[in-house]
Amino acid sequence: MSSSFALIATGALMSVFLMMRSKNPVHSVFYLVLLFLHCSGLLVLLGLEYFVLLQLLVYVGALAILFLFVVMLLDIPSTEILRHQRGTYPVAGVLGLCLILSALLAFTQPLVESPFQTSPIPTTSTFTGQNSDFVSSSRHYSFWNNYRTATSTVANLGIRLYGVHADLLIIRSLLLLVAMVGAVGLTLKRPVSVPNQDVFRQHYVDFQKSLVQIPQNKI
Amino acid sequence: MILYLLIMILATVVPLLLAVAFLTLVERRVMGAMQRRQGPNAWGLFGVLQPFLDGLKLLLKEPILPSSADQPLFLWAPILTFLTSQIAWAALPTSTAGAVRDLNLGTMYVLAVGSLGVYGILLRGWRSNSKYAFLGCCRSVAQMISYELPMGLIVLCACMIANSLNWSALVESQQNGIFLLPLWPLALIWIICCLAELNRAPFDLPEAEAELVAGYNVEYASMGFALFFIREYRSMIMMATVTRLLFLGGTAAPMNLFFLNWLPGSFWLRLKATSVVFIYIWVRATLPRYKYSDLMDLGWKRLLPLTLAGFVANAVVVFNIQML
Repeated sequence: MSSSFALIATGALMSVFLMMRSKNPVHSVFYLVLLFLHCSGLLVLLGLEYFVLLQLLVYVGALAILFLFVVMLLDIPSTEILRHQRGTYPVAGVLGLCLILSALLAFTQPLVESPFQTSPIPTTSTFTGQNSDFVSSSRHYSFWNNYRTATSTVANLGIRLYGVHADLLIIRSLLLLVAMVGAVGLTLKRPVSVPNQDVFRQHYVDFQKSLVQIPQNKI
Repeated sequence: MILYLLIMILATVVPLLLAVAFLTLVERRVMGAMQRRQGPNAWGLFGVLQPFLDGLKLLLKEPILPSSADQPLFLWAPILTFLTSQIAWAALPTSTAGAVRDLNLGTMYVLAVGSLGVYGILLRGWRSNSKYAFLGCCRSVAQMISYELPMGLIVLCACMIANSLNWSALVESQQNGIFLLPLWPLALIWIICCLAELNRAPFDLPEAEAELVAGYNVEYASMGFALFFIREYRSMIMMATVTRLLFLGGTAAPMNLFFLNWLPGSFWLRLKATSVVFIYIWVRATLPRYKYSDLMDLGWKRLLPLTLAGFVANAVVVFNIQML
């Protein structure tokens, strides 16, 4: 365990604690953002640079801002939050138990190599979490020519996502499609009074009946 | 190594701050020329001392802390915006020597850091505890988030042609022809998105003077305001730099002639960036302000589908060429 890991993990835990303890919900969301940033720091230490940027773009850049907007505009009093908090103690207890069990699992399970390799070329990658180890340890020196063909995190992720687990990706995309259609359907409000077009009804109009001959003298 | 990094950082930051100072002058002079008036010309030759005197004025003014504002965050917000707009420059190559750090995923890094910049504005608006500031920050943040999507897609288009997410690789792949030629529709959209992302006219709704006084920075005076101002102009230069890296061939000379190649790459790069900045100022002097609903309409209903279509078409073409 390196000192930077200790620093970032402590920071993450502290921001979680502050997030839970702060009275103002907007402050809570800001601490949540701080937590996301610490998590991306932990990902840097793992050498997963693509996931770092993904975390920053998706969670910090978009998701947390949506949270913030909602919390800012709702103006929730802290007493109401406390009232809801009491109801969630059993759920929190179960989740906490799961956390402790999974932490214990980490000690008992054998160490598995991460499928994602870090960037092989130290000069082009700033995230040198493991690259310095690559250079220094003699174990890796004998395989140095393998590094030329080793793929980066992005390429590895692409191969896994679109090659190996393509079926799961398609299922997930269908799920997202359903969610999107649902969101559009929720916002579509069709007022009764406004005349609306029905494509099927228009197609099945009987033209013999719809055409009316106007007398010549009226034109 | 640390000394080298320090020199690289200083060599990036100091010219940048000077450029920001002169950009304020350039904007006022160019706007003046376009509106048939003089602009600031009293101090120094053509008014070169004007930005420094402005800075001195802002520095010497009394900072005002509103009593109802959330104190630590109110003070931290300008610093946060300043820093987040600063760290994006670490990955941008500003000369042929490369960037401070030429990241593998440099383009994504710049996008991610750009999305972090929203927080400073959000904090500014919310912590000021003022209606105008809050409305301004809501507008600004919504605008910036919605225009980030087409921007990201356009960056990915260029990256797909270059087959890399690295800025230097993007520049290298434009040696034989700049990306403006095949991607000009996307470049047009890019310029529009840049204007919206920078909160500049015609999309300067966050600081619509008639409705919102001055937007999310109403409560800030003196150095807090100056930091905000520096951040605005620096992100203008940053967007111009990104534009010339994406579309205008970066450090390469416009034509492959020996007397043009003799000039250093950083010169061409600054010339191109300056021309893009000039376009921003030109647009500001020309176009009236948009309505907010029109802005959102343009972003989500027009530009986003267009860029998505462009992305897919681009992907098909690039894939077919790579298959050949």
